[in-house]
Amino acid sequence: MTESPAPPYVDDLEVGDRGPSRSLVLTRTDLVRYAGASGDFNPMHHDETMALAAGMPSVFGHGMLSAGFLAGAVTDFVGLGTLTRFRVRFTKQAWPDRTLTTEVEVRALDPDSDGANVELDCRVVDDQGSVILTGHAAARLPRRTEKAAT
Amino acid sequence: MSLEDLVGTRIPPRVVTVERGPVVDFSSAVKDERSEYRSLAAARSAGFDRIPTPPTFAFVAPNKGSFVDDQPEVPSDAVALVELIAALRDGREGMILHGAEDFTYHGPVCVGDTFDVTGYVESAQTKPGTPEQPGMSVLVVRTDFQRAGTDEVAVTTRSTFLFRPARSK
Repeated sequence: MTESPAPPYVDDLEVGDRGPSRSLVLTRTDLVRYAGASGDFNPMHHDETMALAAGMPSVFGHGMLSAGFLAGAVTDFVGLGTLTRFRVRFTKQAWPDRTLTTEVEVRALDPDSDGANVELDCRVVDDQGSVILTGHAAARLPRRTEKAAT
Repeated sequence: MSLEDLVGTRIPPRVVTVERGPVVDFSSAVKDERSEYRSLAAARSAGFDRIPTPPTFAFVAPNKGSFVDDQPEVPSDAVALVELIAALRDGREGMILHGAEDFTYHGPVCVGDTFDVTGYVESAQTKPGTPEQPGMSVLVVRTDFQRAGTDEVAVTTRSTFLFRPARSK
């Protein structure tokens, strides 16, 4: 288990700053674990015979598995409980045995949007150069108010 | 009935409870091993009074916490999500895809919470195609997780489903 660091102060961030990256070699066991944990038993994600019959080269990852993995990386950056928005668009399948890597970057600070004070661009790419999903997140981070007061 | 006529159609409402075991299993499945999802003591150290859940947990919560004794009566005009997706296909050859997912967070989702979950078709349209590739059909279902017994919506999700018709022969 890992402890989460406290959320960063928004004052300490700059546009273009990158959050810590996560990597994962996706296995078929990961797909089965996510199927059970999510209740999503679409056979395309665990039944190789059916996936091949549907014209796929193999089973492939749930989009929401990649999204959940990316959400973990976003949380590593902005901390627990600060998100106001997280949206993802699925672009390519995540194939077993490929390495998935997250990228999280500050897009804007103090945007005028529903109380959030930081916006992030984020995505998951694989080791063949495919973009698996792209996303955006918004968060409400603490400010160094005590410093401003002195 | 055209696809556009589905706009406003409700999906069956559900009462959903967030339990501790599913949160641990889900966070492991998305490779998020942080202790706050597993330990009340760790959650309290991080300033929570209960165990929080990962950002995308709401998407699966109805699958993991809809218990038969708690479920409300289903309105006669409600249509199950699988039927809405079948309507998107409309009997054609092609592929159904989960195109996008959008979470808006208004409040925390924690172990022990119970939500009245309601949803409806927010938009439905068929995009223009070409003679070779018929246009995609797109369905957006909005779901609100309202804290039971209050008017507080903790999370709103918007799920985009796509149907991509097979290319014309």
